[in-house]
Amino acid sequence: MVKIEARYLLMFYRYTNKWKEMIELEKDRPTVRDFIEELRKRYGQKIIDALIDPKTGDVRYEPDLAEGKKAVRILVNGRMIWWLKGLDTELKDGDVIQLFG
Amino acid sequence: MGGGDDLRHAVPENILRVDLTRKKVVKQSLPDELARNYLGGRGANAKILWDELKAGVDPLSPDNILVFGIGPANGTLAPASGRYNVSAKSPLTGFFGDANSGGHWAAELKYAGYGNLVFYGRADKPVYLWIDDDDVELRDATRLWGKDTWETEDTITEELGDPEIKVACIGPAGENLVRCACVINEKTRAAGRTGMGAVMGSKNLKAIAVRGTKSVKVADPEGLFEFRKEANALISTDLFYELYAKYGTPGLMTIYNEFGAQTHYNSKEGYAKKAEDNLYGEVYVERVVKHVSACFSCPLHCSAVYAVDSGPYACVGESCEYENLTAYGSRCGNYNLESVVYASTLADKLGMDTISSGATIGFAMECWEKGLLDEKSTEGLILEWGNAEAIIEALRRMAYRKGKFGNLLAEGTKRMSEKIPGSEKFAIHIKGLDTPAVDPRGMMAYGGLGYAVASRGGDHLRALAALGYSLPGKAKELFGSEEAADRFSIKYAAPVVKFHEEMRAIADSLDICKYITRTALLLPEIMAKLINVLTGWGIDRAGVLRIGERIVNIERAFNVREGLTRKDDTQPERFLKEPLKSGPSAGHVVNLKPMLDDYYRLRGWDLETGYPTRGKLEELGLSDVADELKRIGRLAE
Repeated sequence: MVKIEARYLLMFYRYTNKWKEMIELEKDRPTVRDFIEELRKRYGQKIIDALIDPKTGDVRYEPDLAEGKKAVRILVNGRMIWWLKGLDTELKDGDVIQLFG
Repeated sequence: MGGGDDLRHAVPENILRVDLTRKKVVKQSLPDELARNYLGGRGANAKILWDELKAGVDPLSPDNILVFGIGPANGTLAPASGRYNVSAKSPLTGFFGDANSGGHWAAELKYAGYGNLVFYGRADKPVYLWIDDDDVELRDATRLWGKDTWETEDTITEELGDPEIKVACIGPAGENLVRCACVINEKTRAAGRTGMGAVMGSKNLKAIAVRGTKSVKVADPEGLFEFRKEANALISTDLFYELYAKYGTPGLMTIYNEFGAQTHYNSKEGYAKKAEDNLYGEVYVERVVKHVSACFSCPLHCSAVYAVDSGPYACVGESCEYENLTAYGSRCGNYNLESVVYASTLADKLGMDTISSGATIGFAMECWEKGLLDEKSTEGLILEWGNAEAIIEALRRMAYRKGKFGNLLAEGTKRMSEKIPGSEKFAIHIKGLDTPAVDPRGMMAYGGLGYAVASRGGDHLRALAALGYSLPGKAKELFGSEEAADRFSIKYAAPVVKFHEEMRAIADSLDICKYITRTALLLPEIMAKLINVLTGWGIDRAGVLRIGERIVNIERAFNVREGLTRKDDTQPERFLKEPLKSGPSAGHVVNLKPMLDDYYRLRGWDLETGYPTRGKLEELGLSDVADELKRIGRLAE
């Protein structure tokens, strides 16, 4: 069990109606992918559509002009996960995960 | 609009030269080569100052020259085309002074038919310039002197009988030659930085009121419609769209504090948990914003009308920016949002740059903490961190130069630190200009190098290297490596800053907003398309970058002529030596030397002196500039 703090910054507030919360992830060594799965359970598919590009299976680093979808970012402890291990970045107790866009 | 024929499109028709000493106004055609080589706005202002200002003049003397400038985009369907620039030798830095503002004043000036307004000398009593299309006159402003910027605008529009008149003016701070005084248009839009309001005050020029009713022709109207549609799609899907459109720049407080790169307590800290529930963009919108608003032709609408409805800080205004939340908030250890909004409104009325005035107060607060100032030296002000009442009172004293301490504050951080032994180490300015809200230790290209080399001193908007922390895909495309978008990387800082500086010079000279060109419309090929539909020039990507580079180099030449050398392209000691203590950027300092060496090499400037080389200047068509620098012994061969 790993306890993290999630922050839904700026546009992400509209999917969650709160801008931060503590989340317990059941795995011993969860990743950002597990956190996203938890988001799906809590808030449904809309927030996932905003976060993940189905064509790449990765974060929407680039906007999708045809679909009118914005670029977004995921950070762990203030560091864009691009520089870590992307969606496979491991999360540990006390980590802060930030969604912004 | 095209000088009487259809050969020239979008470029403003005329320059006005106003001799305040002799009360003489001369209208001249705006030379085509000025537009083709410098576009307009900031670029044209810089060229005019290079050509006409004598080196070494006192910035607050009649010898300084003050130039307002707009460009080909103003007053058209080009997105966010409501900007103008005002430039002169800066009373804060002694180098190139320049400030940029939005609103609707610039479009009005375009409709009146003018591109640059050049002011010389000093009026013997207060005056304001009234531009009513072709009719231009200097009018008595004696009864306006002493009024704040809001009262000034109301009085002028009432006197002239037309609420559509747009007014740019100074408040008491400009009149009192406060070195960070700014120019305010439409009450809440500030040409904030480098003390252009003080230069205006030194000339006894209270305001410029404009009414324009002419049209602007563009070369390819249908192409401009298409460009606008494409631009809107890029802007509305950009990473930062919702941040600006819904939260305005206060949304940046959220981002930079989460990065641990936010100024707190005069840059002693880069992260503070207290900011979360008090100063974040989300909190600002929830607590004080009434509705969003926008400058001329802007799809991003990052402004907002706000109100504090009751209590000691009750006020109404527009556009309390991220920089203001930092200046009177986190920089001064003040996490009371309503008091920050009140101080910001007051600064608009007094006509003071929020960044520099807040930074000077924050600096004074650290002096107090360290025992270098006390109640006697501050004449009763208790400058403890977070004392909102003291911040507001300090602002008033600064604007009116009230008492010895007010006078000291009015001189700005650099001069103040020179009078308080032991304070220089935490005087947070570059070339005399206070650095902005983002702590450069958490943003190497954006702040670490970008601030150090900015032509107007400690400033984020010369480079605004936003790609350098957010867009790995574009970084690879432009610089060959995703690492160029890593905010801690120093390896690619030089090319990132150089590229952004050139693109920001283009935005400032067209004159469009840097928030739409920040990331969404960043690329030179996009700007080439815009310039072509406006003017029909047929410019390409390389041509755009060349104009940007020319503007950067003429500003450099201006500064070198005023005595700038490599030692001025630096950072405050705190950023070079004191690692951030906590938060997501903890442990970092600015490692400037390697970035600066790379930058000079890329720029074609001399590594030892920072002087431009003849080769670079000639490449940009600036042989005459090279000759002048050679004549004064400041050219690197």
